[in-house]
Amino acid sequence: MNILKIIGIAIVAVTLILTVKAYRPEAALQISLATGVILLLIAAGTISGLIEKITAEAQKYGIDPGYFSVLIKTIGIAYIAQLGSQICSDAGESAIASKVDLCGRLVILVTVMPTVIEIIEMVCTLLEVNIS
Amino acid sequence: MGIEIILKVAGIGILVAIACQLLKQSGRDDIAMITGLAGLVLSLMLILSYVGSLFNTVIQIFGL
Repeated sequence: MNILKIIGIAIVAVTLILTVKAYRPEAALQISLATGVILLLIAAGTISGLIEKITAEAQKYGIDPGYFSVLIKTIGIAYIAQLGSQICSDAGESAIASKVDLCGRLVILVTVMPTVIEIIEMVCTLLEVNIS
Repeated sequence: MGIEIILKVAGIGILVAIACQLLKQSGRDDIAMITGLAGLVLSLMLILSYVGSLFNTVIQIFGL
């Protein structure tokens, strides 16, 4: 992942979008969507390597991989939800963008819920032991 | 990968803009609108495979 390549792609894409936007705004949105997807695909290789290394380190220090995978899933859902929401708001539809954001947060909540319940139960068990 | 798909989508956008202007000048507004829609559908079909590949990559990396 070469940072110069990424900057080059972004500058070319922005120039093309500005050229097309005055005549066909919907085509400009297509270009913006394509650029976002390409840049995320370029970043995905680096992200994958990073996540593997971090997971290996966490396992070495004894962090339960189940809990860690919940954290990684949250990051992934946040990335994709942000992509969708910002494409919508770039097109001027900020209402739809906020709904996409809301759904992303709900999905994250659903994913995290079992871990939260486990933590609450663990805290209750500790408190019971302490009190009695 | 990289820059080719962006240039293709931008090329379609510019061609559609030019064609729509020409058709509007010669009074054929309806064909201009159909050309705009056709260009939109074409660029969506081009992007679709990349979006699918991105979603598959994200599902694979983050384990969703």
